[in-house]
Amino acid sequence: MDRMGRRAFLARTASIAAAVAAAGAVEKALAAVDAGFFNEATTGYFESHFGITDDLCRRVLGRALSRGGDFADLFFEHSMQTLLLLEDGNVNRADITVALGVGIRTVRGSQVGYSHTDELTERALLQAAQTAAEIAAGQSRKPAARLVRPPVGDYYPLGQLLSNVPLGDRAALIKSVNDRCFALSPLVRKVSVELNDELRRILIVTSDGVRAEDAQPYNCIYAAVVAEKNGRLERGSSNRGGRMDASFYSPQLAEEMAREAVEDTLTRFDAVPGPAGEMPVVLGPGAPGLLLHEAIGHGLEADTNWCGASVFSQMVGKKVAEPFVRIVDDATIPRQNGSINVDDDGTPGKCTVLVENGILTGYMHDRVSAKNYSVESTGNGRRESFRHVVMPRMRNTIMYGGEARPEDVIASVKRGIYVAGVGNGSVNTAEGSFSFYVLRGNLIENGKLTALIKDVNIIGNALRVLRDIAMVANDMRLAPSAGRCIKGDQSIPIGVGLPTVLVKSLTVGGVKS
Amino acid sequence: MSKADRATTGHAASAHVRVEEGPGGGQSSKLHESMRDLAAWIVLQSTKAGADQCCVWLKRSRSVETTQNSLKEAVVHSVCVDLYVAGRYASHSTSDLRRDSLRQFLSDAVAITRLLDKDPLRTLPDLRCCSGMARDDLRVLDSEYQSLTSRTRLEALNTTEHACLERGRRRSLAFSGRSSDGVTSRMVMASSGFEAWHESTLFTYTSDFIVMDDDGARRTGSFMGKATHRAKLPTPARAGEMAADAALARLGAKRCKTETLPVMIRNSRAGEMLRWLAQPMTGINVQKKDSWLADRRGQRIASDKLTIIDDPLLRGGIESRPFDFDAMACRRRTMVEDGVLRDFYLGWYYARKLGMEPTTRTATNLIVPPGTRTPQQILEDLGRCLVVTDLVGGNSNATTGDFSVGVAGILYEKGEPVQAVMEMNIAGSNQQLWTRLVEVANDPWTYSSERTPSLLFDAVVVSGA
Repeated sequence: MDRMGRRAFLARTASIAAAVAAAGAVEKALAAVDAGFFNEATTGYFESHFGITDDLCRRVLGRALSRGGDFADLFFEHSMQTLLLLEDGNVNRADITVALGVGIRTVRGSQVGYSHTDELTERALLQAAQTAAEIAAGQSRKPAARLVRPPVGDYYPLGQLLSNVPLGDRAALIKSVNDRCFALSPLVRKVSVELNDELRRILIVTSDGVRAEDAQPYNCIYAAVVAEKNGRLERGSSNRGGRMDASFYSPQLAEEMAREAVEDTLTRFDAVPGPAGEMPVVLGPGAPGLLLHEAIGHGLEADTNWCGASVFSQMVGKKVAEPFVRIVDDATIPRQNGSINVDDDGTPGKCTVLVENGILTGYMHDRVSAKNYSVESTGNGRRESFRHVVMPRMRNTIMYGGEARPEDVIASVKRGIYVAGVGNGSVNTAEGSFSFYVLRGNLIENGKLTALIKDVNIIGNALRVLRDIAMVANDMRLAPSAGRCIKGDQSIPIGVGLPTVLVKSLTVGGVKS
Repeated sequence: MSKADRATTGHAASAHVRVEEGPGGGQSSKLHESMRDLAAWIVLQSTKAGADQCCVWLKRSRSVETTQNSLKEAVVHSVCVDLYVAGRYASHSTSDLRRDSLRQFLSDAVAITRLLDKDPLRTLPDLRCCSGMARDDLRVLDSEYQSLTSRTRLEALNTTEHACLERGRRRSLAFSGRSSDGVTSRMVMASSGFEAWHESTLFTYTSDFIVMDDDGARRTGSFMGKATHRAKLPTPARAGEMAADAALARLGAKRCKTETLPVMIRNSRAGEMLRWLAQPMTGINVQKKDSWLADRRGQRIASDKLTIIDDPLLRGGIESRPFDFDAMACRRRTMVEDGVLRDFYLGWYYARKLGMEPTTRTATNLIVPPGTRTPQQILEDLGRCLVVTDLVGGNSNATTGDFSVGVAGILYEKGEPVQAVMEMNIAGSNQQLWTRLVEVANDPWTYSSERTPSLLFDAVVVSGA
């Protein structure tokens, strides 16, 4: 099959695999034919389906280095996303998006030239490479004569892709969430459910001889419930996902999702106004790890430090927390949101220690920042798509558990708040100011959890919050939800994990002084 | 496009066509023609594949993004097809525009759409909603766009940096700037016979500056502006001065005690608060009961100081356009008038679900008519007041109206700045907040789609130390 024909075939099979899946017999027939987008192989995809050979890559890289530069790379991507939406009891909308293209980068020192194209013809690739090369102005260089595939992990085996589950079965799953929500409470007025499924195939080829491929599934289910009680409306939700396979989306999950969404909604009717002012804050395990992501993680991404735009810019090797604090950014946790076999620079995914024994040990690097700092890349180079330039980004940011029991952490607080569910976060890395939004929590009064609170923003300072971590419990938990992080104009999946943690003092933005 | 194709797709003869010449004149016309041909072909193929109705959205954009370390240049094409098949609906997008791929893509897309649940309310809008599209020149194309070069873009950023460093002097720590400029062409064509074309340019300019405080802490300031014409943005030097002034104003910033105060939200950030109102005004929120405004149309939701106009036909507006995301003709609407909620954002589908008349799906250019006094004149009449220059994270709950958001700014006493503040928070309910809007200043921010002056609210809980 020639390149054009093969690519058209793929575009067809990518859609048809889902489209005819409900038809049963037809699905089987196609499954036998289709050895393409949705199969298990993670290597050789772009060569066999689009004719992206090593020789072609070297020619394009040669063009990208035709005006000099330190190195160049190519980032090929073919992705398909299917979003099914339920409202008012019906799965009455689907949004399906296919993206195919390549981004080409030329790097000279800390200068980057970048161009991308939707066309995978040699002519289009060379033209984009020429544009990227404009950043340099010197003698041309040749790319490596041989391309080598680096050894990479397999943190999300493609065995049973959600994408291969018949559309009708996926619709039935989200309908069961809807039905359970209504069955759980007569107060429920509206339910919306979304099931998002994405498969992203990437190929990175670098001028210094790396050819790395990956196939990254990403999927999530989100349920939102609106309930009405005595004329008041409240909305709650539940969210699960990651780089899961089809077995994750079980009837048990549907039940769990429905229960959590309904409970999250109904408990809000009992919430009291949140307190205002500075006080101790206990972060519950799991999702409140957003604090790590905002307060510490972004400030440790090397690009912000290189230009002096982080409070951590001069802090490597210094004490930033108590000795029992250990924080890592880990790409290797099976099926977590932020796990990656290989980063978007072609560096294998790994675990990077950020804080050890309370000492800041280093930053998160992509290739460019690693070169600036004369260190190895930590495999944190990530990007939203081939239309975006790679930059240092977090993967799964986690604080290890300590020795305290969670109940002892809560008991140590006379007056403060407990954070159970969180939402929006943001940070000003230069000043260190960060905030995150408490969707759900409790007051702590005399060492006990009391009234529920909701819709309270928390604001603090990165250096101070690290210093103020006073207790760490032994119940580290990964957030079960499918979180995403936006930096600049790029959104990527990330994960967080946290044990129960006491922060001595944060500013709580309630209304009750 | 052949006559046969046109006949098959049943297009009305250019009844609603609007063409705006691009910067290249003839070049733009050629692009328009080629996109029109492609759109007609997609309509034809979708119909052949079994779609009862369809609407095709084509987009082509060329953009250049420049920082002092990077240059990114790209041309992006995309196709989005809304398909209506046997009472069912789906939206499909791809960036692969080759006809062979597209033909198969559309055939598969129709097959997928057939697998969804029926929804009789999902249809193309009536043509009556599409007629009367504005024919005035919206003035959203800047011919200067084509004269920009990599060198001029980089020189602008260098000028901005120089202005920052001059202003910051010994306190200067770091500068980063980013500019982007692009032209986007959009073609929409529906099987009902509606078609339209629109082109616009967009320039964005960002400068971030960091200075060192006496205690070694970093203080930041920034300028971020957008405009359809480059000349409508501040000069590069002025953009640098604005960022530097913002950073220097934060010297000595600290948390202050928790108290209830008058709060003035500066014009550059007040637009974000308008979005707290616009979100629960959308049809999707209203229909899902995810809106504290759902039953409030025709009622007072704010003090009589608040009027909000949504104007998609504003000349030179960033969100100006002749047609909306349902391909309905855009019109200027008063959403809130003297504190009374007049309208919702109702696209075709949710309007039908709610049994209401459609308006438009989302907010465009939001305009709050300016008052008569400057922010300084207003502050001079007050005692203690927090002027918010930055909103930090937080959220506004569209269902309940509760909000809580981080703030930074400056405390004033009788018009004099007395203390920069940071890491503080304001909280309350939208229901209460907007009724406490006591004055609108005369300084509308012109560098975004929210043209909002500074807003003064009375008695807001400000939490800090």
